Amino acid sequence: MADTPMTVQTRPFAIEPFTGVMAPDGIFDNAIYKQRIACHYTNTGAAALTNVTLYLESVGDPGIAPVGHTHWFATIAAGASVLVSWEANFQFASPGKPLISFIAEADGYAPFRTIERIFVSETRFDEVNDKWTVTVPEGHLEITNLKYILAGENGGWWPPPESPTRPHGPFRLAFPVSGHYTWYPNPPYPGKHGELPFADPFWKVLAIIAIWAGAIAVIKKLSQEIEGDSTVTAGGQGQFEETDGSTSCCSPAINISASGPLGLAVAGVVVVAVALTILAAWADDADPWWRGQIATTPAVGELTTAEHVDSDFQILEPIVAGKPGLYQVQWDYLRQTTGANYGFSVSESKTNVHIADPIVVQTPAVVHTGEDLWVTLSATKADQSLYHGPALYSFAVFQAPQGLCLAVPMGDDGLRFDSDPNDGTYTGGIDFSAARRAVLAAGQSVYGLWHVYVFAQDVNLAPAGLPPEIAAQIIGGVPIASPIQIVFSNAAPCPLAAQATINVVP
Amino acid sequence: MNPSNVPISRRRTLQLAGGVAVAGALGALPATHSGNAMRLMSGSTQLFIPEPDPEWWETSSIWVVPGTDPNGKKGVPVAGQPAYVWAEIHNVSNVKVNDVQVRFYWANPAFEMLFSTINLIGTAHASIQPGSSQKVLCLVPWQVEFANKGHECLVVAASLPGDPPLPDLVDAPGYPQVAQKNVTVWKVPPEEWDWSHIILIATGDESRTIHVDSRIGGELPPETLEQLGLREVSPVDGSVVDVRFSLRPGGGGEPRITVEVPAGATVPLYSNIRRTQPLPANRYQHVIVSATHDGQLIGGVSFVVMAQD
Repeated sequence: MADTPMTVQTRPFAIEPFTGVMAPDGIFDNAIYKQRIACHYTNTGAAALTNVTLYLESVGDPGIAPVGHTHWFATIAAGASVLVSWEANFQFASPGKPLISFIAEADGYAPFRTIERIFVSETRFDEVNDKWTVTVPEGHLEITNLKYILAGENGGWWPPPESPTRPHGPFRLAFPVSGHYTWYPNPPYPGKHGELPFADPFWKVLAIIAIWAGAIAVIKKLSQEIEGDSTVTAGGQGQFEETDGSTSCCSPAINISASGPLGLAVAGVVVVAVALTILAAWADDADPWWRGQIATTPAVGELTTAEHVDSDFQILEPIVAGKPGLYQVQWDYLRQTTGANYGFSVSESKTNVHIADPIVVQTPAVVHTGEDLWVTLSATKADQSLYHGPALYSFAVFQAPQGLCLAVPMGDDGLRFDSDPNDGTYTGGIDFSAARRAVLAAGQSVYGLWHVYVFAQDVNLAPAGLPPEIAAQIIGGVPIASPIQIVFSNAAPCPLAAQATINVVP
Repeated sequence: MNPSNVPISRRRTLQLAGGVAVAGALGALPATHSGNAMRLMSGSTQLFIPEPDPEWWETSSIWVVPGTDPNGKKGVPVAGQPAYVWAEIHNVSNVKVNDVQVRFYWANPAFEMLFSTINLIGTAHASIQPGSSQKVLCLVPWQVEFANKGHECLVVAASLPGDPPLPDLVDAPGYPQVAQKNVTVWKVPPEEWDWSHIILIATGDESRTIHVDSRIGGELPPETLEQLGLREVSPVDGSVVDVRFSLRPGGGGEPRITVEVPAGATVPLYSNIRRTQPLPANRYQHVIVSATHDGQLIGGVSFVVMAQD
């Protein structure tokens, strides 16, 4: 019997289950205990498959504990990629690149095993020294002297401190725009270039992970939903050092804590955007460490023991998912060796290269009793092709007229509400009876104007086997569609606008 | 073949009767423990790991891939290097089973072991069609230690979410979803005694009298030999080794031994082997060391004795 022609073609990625968003570049960090292991599973055969089961068999780190679950699909079209995920606990995970195996089986075929790798980092925050450390097998990155643009004094991203249910005070949105970053390679290395973290992403991704992990931990702690579910504590509790204070960022236009899935998704996407400002400022194709290594040549016999980057950037335009934005960046690189030190500096303008324009979100304008609520997303890349299939991780939040929020996955997989796989249209939806049950259970009405918010992040599609310095230029997890914008104005709330509405009538 | 002094286990009944309906019937019966009586255990009614009878520890349902590639060639683990452990699990019911949890362990060889004291390597999950089997890979690499001269035992236990918990005693004959592999290639120098230790245990409040004996000769299935990295080898005719047992290392001893194991104690027993005749490079001598208590076979260790290079 032939093997089931289903395979996982790219690196599985992390989804943070509390907010529902993908971690930067899909990297898992053991500072966040519960994460979902997600992947796109592709039918590589020439025909549709029936009675398909997909499950996660094993992970090569005994400290990672996945929950056994078998996904079932009645049919998967030829060429279609379906998104599947499994809950797992990373509390005792070790930094590294453990193997992970999946099994697919369909009618008429033998089970087939795919083995991939996931990336796991370890982020910790030293409250005494105000220092972040991100550890991977190739070394560790230390981050100190962070300075932030903060949300305005009157706005926070959580209820005010006097609230009895929020004793930790407000979560003030904070953009790290200045800091000192030091990479300590393990072991010190000769020559120009050291090993990339995981032999894949540039070092900047570790900085992004640290900021992301810290922000997620704060969101969870402030929500008091998941006590003790993170080792990362401070960093978000009003202890930020601000820049000169001349710039503030906006405050949320909604009550994050009261908005259920919408509020959490907004918070999650925003913290991803916060972390990924570093990506935009430092560029996808080569980060300060790589460029500094190119520009400096240690003498023969010298070993590089540390590489310091002092960075300062200004955010000159609002941060809008899928838009270029504009950053003015200054960074200074210093290579510290067993002999001499070598420096290199850059001052330049940068933009976000994860572009999606236009982004088209569509829903039925009117839905009658018994008809389904659905939404589609299509997003055009910079090369004018459409994102399609496994290129995006996407979900939508349907907000009922009286506020109940329901989150649904979106896919370009030819399943459920999606008509054709890989046609560049991502679809999600709720059938009417399910929507009605949910809103009635909340004491609300299904009739009226629904607001639909769509979130999408790009996925790292680097195939296995790429040279590390090439794979490092491909980064995923960047929001390319989001209902929220981040503007830098003390007076204005962050614009949050549903991308579509549905009027549900009897 | 079922020796008259061996209780008929649920595992054995499954093998004789071909499984599905019997498994369901047996699953409904309560567990009993009694020397020579039929011993039907509660547990999973659906999962089965095949083992030979009566030498269940020679199962070919567990094997090792040494090295860093889990899809590499089967062989013997190498001390100081990683290895990957595989197991083949059968679903003997008429419904598909999902989310089977499979646990993989290694241990110093012993006639009996406790789950609480052996070493967990890792876990895996499986979903298995009715009447079918699945080869399950544990991706946590087994970091092979040099213990007991490289003679180590593997244990695999499969369970479904609703299964009752297994007893602490590793009871492969009594629980068809538990299997044990205790087969080692032993390269013995000419004319010298070489030794390997086996642990005897007595759990509970009573001491045990354990009788240890050996059987020399016979043949292992080609699949089992292949799993040991042995290809194109055949059993030698007759007996070319001398097997003795002692309570101290160093060789010699008695051809069979009775050991009193105090309650709660572990006692090391040394298997000592010496070649008495030449052993060609492509030949092996199959040696089975087995232990009984109260007339009941409680475990064994098998060796594929070959000439040392």
